[in-house]
Parts: sequence; structure tokens; C-alpha cells
Amino acid sequence: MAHHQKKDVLMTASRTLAEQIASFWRRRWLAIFGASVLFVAFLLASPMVLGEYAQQILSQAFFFAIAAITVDLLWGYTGVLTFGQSAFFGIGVYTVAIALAYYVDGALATAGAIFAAMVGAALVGAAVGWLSFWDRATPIYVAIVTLALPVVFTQIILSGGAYTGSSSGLPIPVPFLSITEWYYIAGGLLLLVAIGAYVFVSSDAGRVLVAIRENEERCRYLGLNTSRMKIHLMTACSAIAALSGAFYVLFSSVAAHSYGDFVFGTELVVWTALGGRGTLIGPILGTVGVNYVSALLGGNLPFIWLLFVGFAFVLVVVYLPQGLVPAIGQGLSTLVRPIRQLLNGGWNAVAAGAPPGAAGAAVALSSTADALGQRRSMIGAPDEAPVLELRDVGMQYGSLVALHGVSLKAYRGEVVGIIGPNGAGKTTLLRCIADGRERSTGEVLINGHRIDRLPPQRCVALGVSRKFQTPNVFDALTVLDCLRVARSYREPTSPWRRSRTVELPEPALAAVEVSGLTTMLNERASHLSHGAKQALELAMVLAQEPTVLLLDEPTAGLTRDERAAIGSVLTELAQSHRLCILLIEHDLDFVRDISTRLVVLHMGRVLLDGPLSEIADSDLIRSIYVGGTA
Amino acid sequence: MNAAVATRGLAVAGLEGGYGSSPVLHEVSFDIGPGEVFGVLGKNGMGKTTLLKTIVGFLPPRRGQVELLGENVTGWPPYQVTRLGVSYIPQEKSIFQDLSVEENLRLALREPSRFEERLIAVAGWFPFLTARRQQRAGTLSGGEQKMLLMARALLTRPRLVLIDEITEGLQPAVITRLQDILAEECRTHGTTIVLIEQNVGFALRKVYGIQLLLLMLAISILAVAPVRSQQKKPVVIAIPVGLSGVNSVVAPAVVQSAQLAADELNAKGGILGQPVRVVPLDDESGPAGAVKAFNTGIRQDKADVIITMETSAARNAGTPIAERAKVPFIYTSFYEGRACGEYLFVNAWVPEQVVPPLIKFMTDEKKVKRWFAVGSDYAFGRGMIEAAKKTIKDMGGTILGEEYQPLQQSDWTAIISKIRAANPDGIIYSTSGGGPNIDFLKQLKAAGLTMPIGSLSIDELTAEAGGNAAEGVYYTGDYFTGIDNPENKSFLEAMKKKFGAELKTPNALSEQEYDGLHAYAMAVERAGSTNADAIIKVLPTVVFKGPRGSVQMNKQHHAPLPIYLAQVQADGKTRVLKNFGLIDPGDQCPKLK
Amino acid sequence: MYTIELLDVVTTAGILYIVALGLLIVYGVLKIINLAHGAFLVLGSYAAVIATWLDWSPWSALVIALVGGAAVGAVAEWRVLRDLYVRPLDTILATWGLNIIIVQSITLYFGREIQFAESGVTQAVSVGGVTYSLYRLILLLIAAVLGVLVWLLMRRTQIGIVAQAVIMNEELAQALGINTRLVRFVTFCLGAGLASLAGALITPLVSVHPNLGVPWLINAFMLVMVAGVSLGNLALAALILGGAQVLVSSYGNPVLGSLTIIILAVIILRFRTITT
Repeated sequence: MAHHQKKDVLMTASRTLAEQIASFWRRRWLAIFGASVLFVAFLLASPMVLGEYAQQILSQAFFFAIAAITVDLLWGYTGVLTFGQSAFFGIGVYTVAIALAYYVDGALATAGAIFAAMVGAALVGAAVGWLSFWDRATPIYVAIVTLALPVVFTQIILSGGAYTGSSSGLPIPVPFLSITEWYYIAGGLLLLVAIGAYVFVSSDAGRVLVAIRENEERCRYLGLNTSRMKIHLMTACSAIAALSGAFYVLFSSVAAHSYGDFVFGTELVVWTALGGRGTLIGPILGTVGVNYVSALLGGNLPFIWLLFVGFAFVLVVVYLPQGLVPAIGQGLSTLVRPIRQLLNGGWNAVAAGAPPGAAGAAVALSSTADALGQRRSMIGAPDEAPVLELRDVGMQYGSLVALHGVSLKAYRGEVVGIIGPNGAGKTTLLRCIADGRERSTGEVLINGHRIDRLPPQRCVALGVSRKFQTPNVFDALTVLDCLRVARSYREPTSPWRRSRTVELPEPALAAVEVSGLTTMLNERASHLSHGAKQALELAMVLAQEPTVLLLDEPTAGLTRDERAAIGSVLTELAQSHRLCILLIEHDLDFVRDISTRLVVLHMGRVLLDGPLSEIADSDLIRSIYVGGTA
Repeated sequence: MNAAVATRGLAVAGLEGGYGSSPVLHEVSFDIGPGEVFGVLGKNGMGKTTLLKTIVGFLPPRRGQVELLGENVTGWPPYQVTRLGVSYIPQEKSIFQDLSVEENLRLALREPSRFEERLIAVAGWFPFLTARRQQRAGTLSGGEQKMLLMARALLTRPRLVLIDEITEGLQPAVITRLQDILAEECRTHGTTIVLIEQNVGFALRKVYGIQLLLLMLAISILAVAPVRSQQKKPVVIAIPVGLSGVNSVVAPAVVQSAQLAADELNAKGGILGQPVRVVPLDDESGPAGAVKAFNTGIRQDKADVIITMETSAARNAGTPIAERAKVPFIYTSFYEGRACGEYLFVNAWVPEQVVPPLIKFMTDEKKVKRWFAVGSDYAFGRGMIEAAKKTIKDMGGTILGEEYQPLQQSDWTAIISKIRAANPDGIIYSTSGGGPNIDFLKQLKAAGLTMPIGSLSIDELTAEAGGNAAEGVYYTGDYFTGIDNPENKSFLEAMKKKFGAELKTPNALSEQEYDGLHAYAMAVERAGSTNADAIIKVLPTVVFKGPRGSVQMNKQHHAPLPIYLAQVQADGKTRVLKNFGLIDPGDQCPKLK
Repeated sequence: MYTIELLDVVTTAGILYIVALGLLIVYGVLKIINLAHGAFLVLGSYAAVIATWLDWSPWSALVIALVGGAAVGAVAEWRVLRDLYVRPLDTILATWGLNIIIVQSITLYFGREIQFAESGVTQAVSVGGVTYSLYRLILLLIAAVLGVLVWLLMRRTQIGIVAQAVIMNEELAQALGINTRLVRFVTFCLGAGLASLAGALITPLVSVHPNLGVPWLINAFMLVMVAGVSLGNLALAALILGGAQVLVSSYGNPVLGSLTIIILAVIILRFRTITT
């Protein structure tokens, strides 16, 4: 009966899937196309109204806005606070200026110089990324490096003597274009970069950026090499900032150190924050707005204007951290809401026949048949080799010893319940298995491979996945997006395509279905109940197709029904999919219901280790849980 | 006047007007009720002052109507307008400097018997008035003069007060006082106030609610009305200068120099009969701002010439714009030399003019043979030290050490220790302008080094701000306030008279602006037009005898200049020791004649 | 032989220590990076200018600076930072905004030109055969005294102990009935006051203008990042990095010298294996 129903859903899925994808693609490209047409129309029409002065100001603002977009990609989307984009802008400015001033001329050579500027900046960006994003770098460290970068750059330019023009700037011979032509070039370039950035952030890879911002640790434990991603992003953003700098110097006809200095770097951040980080449109409007108004007012009241910007910046950071554009957008949508509700009311009435949520579920989820087959074939395989082996693992924090020489073996199809009082070292044990850098002594083997000092993302590749104690999902993403990010380790993400579906291995699909998440696929993860978050994280972890699953109190805070549901999923995973599950639990009844084996930890040592039937009712366990010591 | 009339404030409809035949106001309309405060904001030259002057009747309106307190006053003479109960506080100094405070006040009141009574009312706000009744008004401080103006305006208990830029050059504390007084006057007597302000903070505190709307309206009226060129258009002189950024320290003095020169030219009937208009623009002391400012000046304000002092980076950014647009550009700042352009002229010094005299003086008179050279690591610093080294070699001296300090680095420890170790007879140095001079000299002094010092980068203002840090330092230049000649004396007096308390002391970067305007005016008169190609031909033939002496830009668009030697005194003031006479700039632009 | 170099190294370290102290305290207790630190230095310098205007003793500037800086810090903490501690990256932005506000306000009132401030000590003394700036030696002494005072304050007084408790475990401190909000407020005021005091202390060596803070801020920032939260480490970092700066400037390239602190800090932080 149940099986039959599922088939129906899948059939509906294949039909609506194509339509939905098509409609989505239409919508995304329609948005891009519409915005482009509007902007191009504005660009072409505005010179009739705007004087050359205004066009001049706007051209400059457009170039700066491109640099602000790179700040937004790094900081707004990925959470990397950078003061250093000005340095890359400056690299663009000076590469082209020096090339044209001393070495080459002509259109083709200029294009070559621009390209060289981008390559140069990309190399520096990669180096900065390599320096900034090592495994344990704090966000502050990135700020330090990116703050140092413009200072170093400025000093190099200033001490370059006549070659760089030092503080006098380096004037260059440029082909003379009219102000309006430059206005079109600047606007066109901004439009191209903005479209590129929009396609990127709304792609599968863009979603991963947000996941990194929301919870980088979770990403690592999902097998994603976040450091490498950030280095790539930094490299690309450096090249784009250099591109805008290269064009800007052709426009302004003089290179100056102030285009690469620390103050300009902070201004880019200020404009991005004022407009609204993580929105693309916000930084563009912020940059254009501040530059335009400052040109109008700044001439007469330069210091008051700067003071005003300072106040506005502080107010926005404190009270409107999302920036002005989103705040205005929200304001407008509250105004528009009654109208929309009216329209939506009509819609709902039309669609009343369909059960709510069913369509969404059908569209999004499908099972990875291959994986299913694989798993099935494993059923009944002999359990001779342990999939997880700990040899004398010890862990010390300073003088505190959390684990004393723990040795343990676990096999496929086992559910190992790890119990013990608070501070017994249970969570530490899981950490030592999932992250090679944690333990102080001993060895851990997964599927026969030593984990040595591998970081979590490499441990995931060996087949171990970990679910955290408190639910660890990406609050800013929808349920579906969280699952997609979880799968991106298995399926390389595209930097421009946006998939509407996610293929989950059967265990993960089961976790989604059992917990009722199918009806909330398009809900933001932050809106989920505690239980739903736990289930979602479990599904995300299972999407890794692990052999060893580490669960830290998966039922904490759940209702009895939810607990039962999760319990049955876990039992099924161990029995049919032959997973090896390590489970930390305080709820003894739950442990008893699903475990095949119990390990009792106390004061960092294994006190008992044996089949459930033998030790579940021992006095020792009782005394530990009641609070006494054995 | 009856009550019905008194309920009205000020209404302006379709007003057009301006100086002579060049219109500044176009279709200005607004309506202000009694007790309202109306702010007029806008850039310089947008016609704010013209608006007030037209309302009060100093300027005849070309078209449109002014209705004041219910009367149609269009075309009335000013005295009749004021008798309706209108007080006008003009922007320029309008105190009778040689009269006493009391006499100034009495002049405003047409009923002498009520003077004491009104004075008591007003003195509540301005207590110093009663104490200083007999003092000569010209001896009051700038802030007190503004308060006297205000007191004089309020003494008559006017129903409409028109105020033009009252806050210019005032301390914040005084501004707050004036705000309170205006607010009180407005509240208790229902006085209508029209306020012209650059100081938006001041205007905004007064203007709220519905008035703010009017304010916006006023901006749009003035902003959308372009200055249409008529048959007698003014000669527009654009001054892109660092109103913000590093040059904001000297920029106001540069603008004042230009304003004085423009006043003098206008007093003589302008240039070729056309009025002179000065348009200061902010170049933000850097190239990005310079590009904006040059384009604004040339394209929007249709400048006939650019005469300004800028940073080298800003000049380099602006020159190609001026060249392309074929607008003459007179650069009035000393600089590292060798900036050339068909339309670019320089009337200030280059290293070849100031360095050799200083080195020669120190070698001959101070017996410095073994030198230590210190510079800031940038084009100007290195260029000056290069020039110095050349002269030292020519004079047979030796250079014990040569060190460059990165810009933006204020700790000179390492270099000072090297100087101490070398123990030279004297030091020649060239930092970047302003602060770094004092950083270096303070630390040098603290280190106990006392050999003679020649500076290639200090100026009068910086030396004075450094107190005794620069004591004893020798330097050369083409302008000092202490130059003893009649032209300089009358220049300084005229500046003092025009700007009073707001005067920014003229200095070696600002005086050249004054010369530049006069030289340009002479060139236009000689060429008979403002045509750029004609101007650049005659400009090298023009000799202007100004505060520095006679200056002619006849050497490859540069000028041989009289160079003076000066020394900083214990109180930071500079004393001029000697005039070396005219010194040639050498080959700056061999490609030009 | 190397007396001058030795004196240069230790006095430079002393100056850097004084300048970085306020930043360290704020970073240590509040876990935020106060980018307005440079602005507080500027405030202190202008305290010296005001003392000169009022014709007071140059030493009175230190008191004005300490009190004034702490007062401005109090307002800033109260109006801006109080609700931001949970968003540490945003505090970097907010304090940079604060920096803009303070510096622009000073620019509006005083203008950008350099200001004159009287110095208390301008003479030089003979040390080990060389004439050396007395004021730099005094600064070294003041650095030591300030270091000891702050150490005593943190380790020996109730408020210091409370602050330590907040550093170590804020939740626990709250559970013990400590008003962490007040601790933060007092700490920020202290940090701002010390920064401002540092500004007044360096005034006799530099010219006073509104933008003098940024280069000092960057060096202080780097030192504090290297030092972490320990006063001893800060002294060590000031000595090593400041010393390296002097030596590189003297014997190597002055451009590299001016970047020594920044580059060394970036490298040390990248490759230091022990994380605190």
C-alpha cells in the first residue's frame, strides 16, 4: 500500500518536473532580461536629461559599483569581511596605466593590458586567499590580511618614484571618448558584471556560498572544502575588481595611489553596508547613491557630508544590518501586502483542489536509484572487517584529559549507543572520529583507512558523517537548498545553473518523508520547528551516503512521536542499508529500543562495551545515571 | 497698515532677475506665511543672494512679482521696502566700521525715542552690546560683528527678516546662540524669516514640517534654472581646489585670493566690460575629484579659464581635460617641475628656483660643507633632494647621507639616529607639506640635534602651527607675508578689509592665485577676447607687478621669479632675511617656446 | 657602539606599547576590534591642543585626554556598541563608522590644518655617551608604569577580577550575578580613555591633525592581534615587531621598514601553531 502511493507521487513528479523547471528558468532569465532592458533603456535615454556632469559622476559610480559587487560577493554572500578590494582595483588601475605609459599603445594592446591586469590581480588574490583561508583561520584574520594588503600596495606605489608616479599620480595617454560614450561603457560593464554576479549567486554554487556564511563548520562536515571555495572566489573577485580598475583608469586618464588605499577599501564596505549586503542591488544602489549625492553636496559641504555618511553608516550597522535597500523593500512590501493578499486569495481559491504541499514535494525530491541498488546489494554481506576502529585514542585540553586511551571497533549494521554522564567525553569521542586534527594520541581507522590529521571534509570522503548536538542547519536557506548543499559534495555544483531538484539517497529521502519535511521544502530553515531542524540535519548528513554515521543526541528536544519516527529510520538504516551508527543519547529507553550494542564512557574511559542484552540493565548503568560513581 | 495686510508673509511669483543683462533667476516662485522660516539652499553662484537682493529691491526684477506683507513691492526702492518692516542682513560686512556700536544700532531705528526701550529688549540676547556701546564697531570680533548685525536687524522688531549666510566663518557656539535667538523671535513675534545658508545644519534646525517642502522646492527652483548665456556673459574663472582632503588647509585662502582679485577687476568694470565670476570647485585634493571638478568647470560652468592651486596628482588629472577642451590653465602652486602643455601655464616656483639660493646661502654664510639630505619618499620630495644634491656638488660640498622616509610614516627615529651618527654640518630636507615637517623637526629637536637646517617643504602656516619646533630653520620661496613692498602691503590690507575675521592668512600657495587672475585679465584685455588660442599667445607677454614683484610667464610657460630667504623665529613666525632677485626656472618645457 | 640602536628599539617599543594598550584591553575583554581607536588617539592629541589654548600645563593634557576619551567612549558604548556584541564582525564596521564620525567632527571644528600643542619636555639628555631625546625615555618609563598599573588593575582589584571573569566565561560570570553590561561599559571607557591618553602622550613627537590616527591604528591593531589578550605578550610583540621596524629601517629599506609590523604580524598569525 505504502509502496504503491510512493510510485504515484514519483510519476506526478516526472510530469510536473519538466514544466516547473522550464517555468523557473523562464522566470530567472525573464528577471535578468527585464532588468537588463530597463537598465539599458535608462542608460540610453538618460543622457537626454542628465548633463555631462551627471553622466561623469554616474560613470565613476558605476565603476566603483563593480568593485562594490565583489565586496558583496565576498562579504555579503560568503561572510568574508574584506577591506582589500581597493588594492585589486588599484592593481587594475596601475597595470593598465604603466603598460600604456611606458610600453604599449593601441586598442588591442590596451585590451591585452586589461587582461594582464585581471591575471595579475587574480594571482595576488589567490595568494591572499591561500594566506587567509587556511583551515582554522578566524574571520578576523581575513580582515587583518585584507587590511594589510592596501597598506602594502599604497606604500609600493608611493615609493615607486617616477615609474609609478608616486603621489603625483601617473597620467596616461588615452583614446578620447566623449563623456556619454564612457557613460555607456561604464553602465554596460556594470550590467554585465551584475548579471554575471546574479547568475552566480542564484546558481547551485552561489547557494553554497551562503551556506559557508551561515555555518562554515557544518559545510566542512558535509565534505565541502570551504577553504578552496573561498580561495577561488577571492581569485575571481580580485580579477573583477581589477577589471573595473583597469577601465576606470582609461576613463579618468590618471592613476593615483588613492584608488588602491585603505580608505577606499573601507568606503567600498561602507557603501555595500549602506545599500544592503548580500543583495547585489543594494551595493550597486548604495555606491551610486552615495557617490552621486556626494558630488552634489560634497562640493559645498565636504566635511558635513562625510560626517553624515559616518552617522548613516553607524545607524545602518546598528539598526538596519541588512542595509537600506532591503529595508525599503520591506517597507514597500508591507504597503503592497494587502493587494497581494487579495490576489493570492483568488489564486488559492482556484488551486483549492490540490492538497497543500504535495506538489512541492513531488517536484523536488527523487531517489538516487543507483545508490539504492548499491546499498541493497550490500545487504547480507559478511561483517568481517570493522568499518570503524579506534586504537588507544586520547585527548587532552591543556591539563584536562578528556579521553584516556579509548579503543573501540564497530561494524556495519550496528547501532552503537554511547552513554555516560555529562563530561564523560562522549562528544569529544565523536569529534576525534570526525576530525583527524582533534585527538592528542592514538589512531582512528575508517573503512580501514587511517584518518591521520585529516580535516573534517577529508574524513567525510572516507565515509564518516557527523550530526551535531544542537541542530546545525543553514538558517538563511530553504529546506530544499539545505539538502542541495548537502549533496553538493557528491555532485559538483554549477556556477551558473540552478537545479530545481535534488536527488537524495534513499535513507535521506526516508528521513525527509518520515519527518514530514516534504510539505515544507520551500520553507526557510530558520522557520522550522526544533524537531524538523533535527530531522533536516539528519537528512543532510545521510545525503553524504556515509558508512559510519555519528549522531550526537539526535532526539534532544523532540516529541515522543518524532522520536519514534527517527528511531525507526535509524533502525532501518542499520538493518537494510548496513550503516554503522554511533549514537550518543541520554534517553536510556530510546537507546535500549534501537541500539544493538552499548558503550559506557565514564571520565574519559570505556567502562563497559557489550551487546545490549548483556549490559542494558546492569547496576553500573543505573548508578551512573542516578549520579553516583561506579 | 491694517491687520488684513499684516497676515501675509512673502510671496514671489515668476521672478526673473540678475546683474546687468545676465539673468541669474529664472521663474522663481514661492509663498511664505507669517511666522515661517524659509531656508534657501544651493551651490555658490546659483543666485541665492541675487534672490534676496531682488526681493529687497537692490536689483530690479526683469519679470515677475514680489508681494511683501500684502503689498506688491515689485520695483520699489530698498528703503521703502524696509520701511514695511523688513530687515535685510546682507552677506558682506555691513557694519559701519568706524561708528560706535550704539551709533550702528541707532541708524536702524526711525523713532529715536524708543531706542533705549528696544535696546533693552535686544540686549537680553546680546548682553555685550550694552557694555560696549561706545566701542568702535570695527574693533569687535567677527562673531560679535555678526551679532551686532543681527541685533540691528531685530531692533526694529521687523516682521520679515532676510538673512544672507549669517553663519559663515562663525564658531559653532555663536551659531547655536543665533539659532536660539531666531527661533525665539519667530515664536514670540511671528516674524517671518528667509534664510540663505550653505550651513545645512543651521538651516535644517530652523526649517521643519511644511517649510521643509518649500525648502526642497527652493532647491529645485534654483537647481533647475541654468545660467543662460546672454550677449554679455561673465568671464568665468573656474578654481578646482582641494576644499576637502589635504589641501583643505590652504584652499580657503586660495579662494579668497581669487575673490579679492575678482572684486578688484569688477570694480574696474570687469574684463573687457564683462563681469568676472569666480567658481570654486572641490577637487578633493586628488585626481578623482579633479576629473570631476575640471569637467564641471568646463562643461557645466563653461569656464573661460582655470586658475588654481592643486596637488600634482590633481593637476596631472586635470591637464588633459583642459587641453582637450582648449581652456587655458594657469597653475599657481609650486611643484616638482616639468609639467608641460600647450594651454598650461605656471606662475609659481620649480626646484631650480628655490634650491640653489638656499644651498648657496647655507654653504657661504653658515659654512655647511658636509650635508645630510632627508626627504619624504615621493616625487616632490625626491625631486627637491635631487636638485639640492646637484647644487651641493657644484658648491664643492659632500653629502654624508641621503635618506627617504615613506609617506604616511610619522616615526623618524631611524633616520634621526643615522643623522646623529653621521654628524653633518647641516641638514637639507624636503618632506611632504604640512604635518610631516613638524613631525620631523619636533623629533629632531627632541633628539638634541642643533645643526643648521634648510627646509625645502615648510611654509609660514606650518611653521607657525609648529610653535618653536621649526625655530631657526631656513627656507626660500617666492612669497612671504613679510615681503616689504607697497604691492604686498596693499594686498594684505585689501584682504583684511574684505574678509575681516574670516580672513585666511595669505600664504605661499594662495597669493599666486591673485596674480594669476590679474595676469589673465591683462591677457584678455591685450588679446581683445577670451579666445583660448589668442590668450595663450599673449599670456607670456603679460607682466603683472604684484605682491611678489614683477612676474611674467615667459620661460616655456613658466616664470622667472623673485626669490626670498626667510628664517623661522622662536615663536614660529617667519622673518624675511633677503631678496635674491629674479631667478630663472631653467629649461622646464623645451618643446614650448 | 649600538647604544643608539638599543635606545631606538626600546623607546619605539614603549611608544607602540602605550598606543596599543587601550586597544588590547577592549579586544581582551569585549572581544571586539575597536577601529575607532585611531580616532581616540586623535582626541587625545587635541586635548593637548586645548590645554595649550587654555594656557594650562602640557601635563594637564593627559588628564583632559583620559577623561575626555573615556567620556566619548562612554557615549559610544551606550549609543552604538551595547547591542552589537553578539555580532562581532559588525562591531568592526560600527567602530569604523564611529571613527569617521569622531574624525569628521574634529575636522569640522578645528579644520584639517595642523594645530600647535605645547610640549612639556623638549630637551635631550646624555645616555651612555650619546645624546638622546629625554621625552622618548620618559615615554618608556610611562609605558612601564602604565603596564604595571593596568596589570595591577586587572589582577589585583575587584573590577579587574570581574573583568577577568567575563573574559574567561561570560555566561558563568553572569550566573554569578556579575553585571556584564556594566563591565563592558567600564572596560570600553577605560580602553577609550587609555587610547586618548596615548594620543596626548605621542603629541610632543608628532604634528596634530585630524588624520594622524590611522597609521597608528593599523600598527596597534597588528600588535594586538599578535599579542592576543595578554599584557606581557603585548610588551613582547611591541619589542620584537617595533624593534624589527627600527632595525629594518636603519639597516635595510625604509619602505620595507614602514611595512615591517604589518607584514610580520600577518606572517606570525598565519604560521603560529599555538592558538589561544
